[in-house]
Amino acid sequence: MKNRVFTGIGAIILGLLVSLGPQYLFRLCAPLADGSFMRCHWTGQAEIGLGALIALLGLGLALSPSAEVRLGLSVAAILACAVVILMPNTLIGGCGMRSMACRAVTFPALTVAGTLGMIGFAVNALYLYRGQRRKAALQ
Amino acid sequence: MMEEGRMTFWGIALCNLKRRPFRTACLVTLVAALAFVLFSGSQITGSASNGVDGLSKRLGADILIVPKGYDQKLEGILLRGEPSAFYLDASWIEKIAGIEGIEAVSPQLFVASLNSYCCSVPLQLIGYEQSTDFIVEPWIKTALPKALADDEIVIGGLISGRTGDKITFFGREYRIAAKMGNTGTGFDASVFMNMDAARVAASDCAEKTGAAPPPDGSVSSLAVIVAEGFTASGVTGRINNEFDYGNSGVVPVAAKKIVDGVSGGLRALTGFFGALSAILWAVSLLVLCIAFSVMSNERKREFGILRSLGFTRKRLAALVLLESGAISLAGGAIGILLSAVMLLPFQTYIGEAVNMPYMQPTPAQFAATAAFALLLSFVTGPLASLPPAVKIGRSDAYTAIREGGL
Repeated sequence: MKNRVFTGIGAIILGLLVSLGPQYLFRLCAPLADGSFMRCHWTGQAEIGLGALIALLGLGLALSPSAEVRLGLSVAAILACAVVILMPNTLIGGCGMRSMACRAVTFPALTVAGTLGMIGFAVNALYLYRGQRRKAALQ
Repeated sequence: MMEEGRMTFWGIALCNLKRRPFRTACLVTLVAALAFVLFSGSQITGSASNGVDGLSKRLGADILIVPKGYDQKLEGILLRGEPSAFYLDASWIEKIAGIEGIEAVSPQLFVASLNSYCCSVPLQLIGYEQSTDFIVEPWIKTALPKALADDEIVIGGLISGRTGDKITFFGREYRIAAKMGNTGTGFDASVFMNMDAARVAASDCAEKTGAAPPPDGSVSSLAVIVAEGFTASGVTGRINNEFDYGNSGVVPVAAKKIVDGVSGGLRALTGFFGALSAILWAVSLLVLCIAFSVMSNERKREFGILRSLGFTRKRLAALVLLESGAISLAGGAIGILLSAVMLLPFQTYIGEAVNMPYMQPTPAQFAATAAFALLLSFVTGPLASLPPAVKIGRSDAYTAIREGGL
């Protein structure tokens, strides 16, 4: 129960951070004077979806009583966190100068959040896997 | 298998730490905080120090001459790459070159770009005279063995783009001929082009923005090298005397003055992190010392039983040192890891926050700093547990068991 609540709430918070952080907390670059967007805007849009996905996985982690299902959700969350890191750094990218807001603050924050998420979900997956093995050995 | 492990010397130490998870976690957190501050402080001051070194190497001139009132803007360009545009009549090149004690003079022209292809912020375009230049060319030559054509540029390390890519400024396309390495200075956010190209860019800028175009043949600054046997301050004074300082329209700025100003900031930063680390280290040592003293008092009975089971005094003292060592090693590793995860991605932001030239240390410097922080964190635990360890070593089994309340 403790594991469910802890990992579930943690994942929901992480998902909200990834989703809403670039829009409100560690903000992306402002649009250009003519109203057009730079590349980092689209990274922000992609992160909204990824963050929502992580939050949903978190909801599943919190509600699912089955350890096997939570193990699968944790592995899925690890992959989602990996994509959170890849979006700004490889897949879409951002503005042309490293001193711009997106590359100085938003992307590092997403990278740190994604890395910590990956570590956290990996530890959780390992914990659940070992629990399953122990359970199987007792049976 | 598990049970066998617990009976070993290491197993006993680990079991003792596991038995009080909250206390162990608090002590590990304390050491982790110490390691975090030590490592972060060393990294930030090391990066700023590299930046200052880079600045003094990068400046290349002994004196820089700018129009009166623009000396602060010059610092903004050199330290932070803040775009500015100001002009000086080209006749100053001849006038300054004629002063005794000056070996070489080279002009530069600054143009502030509009929002470019990449960014919602303007960039600093710097034009330089290729025939007389001694500032930009030595750095560019490593990446570009030939002179720049009118449609070619060299970009600073902070700007994205690869050799051969095209960048548009004021509607005109330029080809990236080379990219400079990071210097930690404002040049990292600048674009370099030859003087003719810069004049065209300045005219384009005036046309696009509606601002007054720069006067024909004008430049923005003059970089000066002082001849051997003369000092920069002496030549600066001579320039001031010669051209009636304050009324001449130009200001000579000694490069050393800019570097000294930044070095002053670096000293303050180093002092701050040094004091913070020293305070935190003293607090950690004190708290760990108290914690281990309390722990060893609580465990007198346990130590007495271990003595009666055949543990020597040395071995008991070693057990206490081992436990404290494990706590400080775990704390040190966690603190350094967290610090690295926080510092590495945010280095550009941190560089802007400290407001001085900032250049990330080399991997070797990084590893050395991590080793230093880990070592200092690691010794804190055993050092703090040394007094109780010595005390335990002195007591005999009977007294220990009696005092322990058995």
